[in-house]
Amino acid sequence: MTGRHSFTTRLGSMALALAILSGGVRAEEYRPTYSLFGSPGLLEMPTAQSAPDGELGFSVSNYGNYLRNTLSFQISPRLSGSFRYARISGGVGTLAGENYYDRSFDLRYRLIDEGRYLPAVAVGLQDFIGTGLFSSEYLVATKTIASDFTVTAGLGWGRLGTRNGFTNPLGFIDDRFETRPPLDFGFGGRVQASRFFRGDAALFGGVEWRIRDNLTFKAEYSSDAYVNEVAAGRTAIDSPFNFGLTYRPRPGIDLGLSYLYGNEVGVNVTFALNPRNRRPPSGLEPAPPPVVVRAADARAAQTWDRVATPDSRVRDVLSQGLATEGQRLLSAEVGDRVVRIRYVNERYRTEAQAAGRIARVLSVILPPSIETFVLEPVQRGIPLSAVTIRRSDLEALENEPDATRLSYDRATIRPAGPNAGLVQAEAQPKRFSYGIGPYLEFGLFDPAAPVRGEIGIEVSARYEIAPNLVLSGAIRKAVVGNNDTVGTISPSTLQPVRRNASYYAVEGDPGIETLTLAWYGHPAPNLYSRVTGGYLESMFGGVSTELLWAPVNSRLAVGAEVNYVAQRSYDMGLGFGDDYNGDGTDENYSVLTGHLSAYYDLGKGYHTQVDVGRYLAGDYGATFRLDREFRNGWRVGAFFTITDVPFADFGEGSFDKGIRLTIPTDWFLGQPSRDSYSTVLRSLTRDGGARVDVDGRLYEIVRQGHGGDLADGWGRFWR
Amino acid sequence: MNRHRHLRIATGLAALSLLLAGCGDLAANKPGLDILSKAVGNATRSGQSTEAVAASDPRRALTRALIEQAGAPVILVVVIDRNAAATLIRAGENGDKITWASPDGIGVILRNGFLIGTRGLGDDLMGAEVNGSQSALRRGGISTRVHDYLTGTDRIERRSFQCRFATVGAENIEIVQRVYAVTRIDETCSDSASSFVNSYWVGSDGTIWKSRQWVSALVGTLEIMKL
Repeated sequence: MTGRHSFTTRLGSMALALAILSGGVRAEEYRPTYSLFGSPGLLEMPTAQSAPDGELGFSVSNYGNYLRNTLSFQISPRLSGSFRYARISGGVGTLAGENYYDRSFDLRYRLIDEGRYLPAVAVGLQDFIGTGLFSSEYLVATKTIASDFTVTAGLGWGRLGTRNGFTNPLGFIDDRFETRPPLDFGFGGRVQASRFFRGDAALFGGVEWRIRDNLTFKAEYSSDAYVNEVAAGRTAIDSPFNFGLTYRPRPGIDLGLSYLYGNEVGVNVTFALNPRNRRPPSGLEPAPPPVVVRAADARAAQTWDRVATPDSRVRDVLSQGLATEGQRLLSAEVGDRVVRIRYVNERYRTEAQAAGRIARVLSVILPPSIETFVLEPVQRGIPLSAVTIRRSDLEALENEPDATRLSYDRATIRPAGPNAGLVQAEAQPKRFSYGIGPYLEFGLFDPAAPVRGEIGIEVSARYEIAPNLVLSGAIRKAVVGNNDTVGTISPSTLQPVRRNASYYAVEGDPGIETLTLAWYGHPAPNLYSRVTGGYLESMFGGVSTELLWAPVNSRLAVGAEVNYVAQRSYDMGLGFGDDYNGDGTDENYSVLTGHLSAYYDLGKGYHTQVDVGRYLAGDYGATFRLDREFRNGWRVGAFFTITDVPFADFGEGSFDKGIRLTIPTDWFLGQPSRDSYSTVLRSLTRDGGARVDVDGRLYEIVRQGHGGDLADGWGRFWR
Repeated sequence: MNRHRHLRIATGLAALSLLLAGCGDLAANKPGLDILSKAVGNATRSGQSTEAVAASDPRRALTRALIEQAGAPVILVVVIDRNAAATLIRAGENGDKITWASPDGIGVILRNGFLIGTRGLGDDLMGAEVNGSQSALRRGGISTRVHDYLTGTDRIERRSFQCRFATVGAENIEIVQRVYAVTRIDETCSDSASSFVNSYWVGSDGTIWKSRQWVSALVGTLEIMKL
């Protein structure tokens, strides 16, 4: 194709971008290094430092019997959290045995910022949910003495109070602080608040010397004496002093080598990623078409000649114009002064960017008398909102300084208009589509197998009967993976709604993943509806209905969902019922499940959701979620579900909880895409607090075109 | 990928222009569209015969005859740090702001020769306030310019730079076999995070024949020549 450009040589923006990606790295502030616990710190001891806001650290460390995998997230500039999955060889505590897998959570809050004289001070909880094997609390201070030298001193409780521990200084508040209650983890997974800051305390500390920009030396005095491990003869501690080097070959990668407790070598690797740092920041999609500016007299025209240019031709031209920007025209109302269009954004992550592109295309193709563009984005057949842009504003603001803010101020975002007046676009695209592609499915941190998953081939097909009525399905065949053994499934009194997932993986290969008919509606102002029927997910089929109240410019949305579902056969064919409880005879299981949900945009990128209702195993309860969303589409969040299932019946972990992560595809490709990759790190998937995994829940679809998301995406309006 | 996408857009809009050619009032837009379709046409239509030209660096391949043959205003843009060059054709006009485009989707926006925007370079200049610099180019002294950037979190970051203008001296520069007598003027700018020097080679009538203008930290500086 190159040869077709006779004269203009291509600039090779891809190559250029790659050069930019790999080359220029902006001078950045020094970032703290990570400890063997996978959070900013010394080696085994924490510091008061925080990672840059939003940073995600993925760490693997190994020394002695301890292999630790940690995901840390700087939740806010002061607050950070870590989720850790550790393998402990040879048993734990006083229990000898095989490899032991342990999940734990940490939190750290920086109370005081480092000042000229004041050190940074942070308080932290280590392993505060779960079995509490590493549970400890600390108060720590870190001060930069010279630009390349920091000193840390701290006071630790729990494990961090086991070397040269002294009577708890908090005892002056209440004598009860002086004794730490014994660990009673039961089925794990509970917050051990009654033990926080209780029992003996001890001092720890250390120094960090940045020898070069990419090389740091660390030395520390550890207050963890590994009391139980030493008593059980599994660990020997020869010295409380640990030494290490951290090498940073490039920003974002820490490689650590350490000598610990006078007899062991430790290694650790951390990959740090910050959702804020998109490379390249503004994306590589081609330039938009320039706005075509009308002459002053043409602008004053009140009408255009509809005889010479019939409406149908205008719609055809609109269809083709929108198609150049990856937008599908559904219908249009073309007036003398106003055009209103409904379209499906099939290219850009944000509806704001799609609107910006469409507005410019309209300026190229529409008669000059048309002054007002009303853009109604549609997803799954639902008109989400109406964004009104004045053509003269577009002409006045294009390529002006501060155009983003000015254009946002001058645009109006309202509910979508009525169906009346709209005429369907003649050229409807093909309604049938299919795909054959690989899929990747994996679960992390299963007690038996740390990584469990499979890679296979998925054949999917979709038939759009109407934009809001879609028949779709998918069949999967695994190719490689370790899902092909059932393994041991710990017993429970609950219906095995999730526990038996491995039977589906083994017997349902190949299997029908989904086969559904979904119908979407917008029955009344602010009200949206969905009915999905069929094989909703790999383990359940039935009918799922949903109603959502979500005003266009509201932070609050409220939804109700009612599902009647039956458990599918393990072979993932068309049948229902199987030998779920393993007694040799097949059973059927069906359940009425449903939730009331409230969604609230807390501002500054924090979003919360509460679902109250009945779960798949027939248990009643509530799920709480908190997500931090970045405007570029990244999301990091945590959730937990408490139901009326007793912790003993739930089994290990006591209740369902986890972390979810969404990475938008355009973030790492640099090219526009509506796709994203999402994953959930669960402590354990058990039967309590489980929900039907139905595709296309309303809130995530509807909000894309609403005020909050449009405002968040407006930075891309002119891109 | 980029290039193909753009060609699709280009052919799409070219087709639109054909559709609209005979359709009454809709064609009232023709002047603007004409510029666009010409740009598109130049990019896609002519010369299968000059593949060699396309494949090589335009800085070497360009001749005065080729420029004349194009029959439309053209600029040459070099991303200095990447040593990548392209010729850009006028794709749009909005008052004194001209949008120049390459067929693979790079856009450069100039206002009286001053760079006020880029698109498709990865760390784009989304907009720039250069009124102060424009007048300081004539009278010298200090001025302020404001750049708008799209950050990794889709926010617009507005950066204000303090700049000083200084005349470097008279020079003769050659742009594709044509020599211009110009004055070189340098604009030295900085804010708390970055500093850069823009250079302008200005003819006696005030035309900026050649310039080097900074875009952003990751893109660096563009050299722009009026052909």
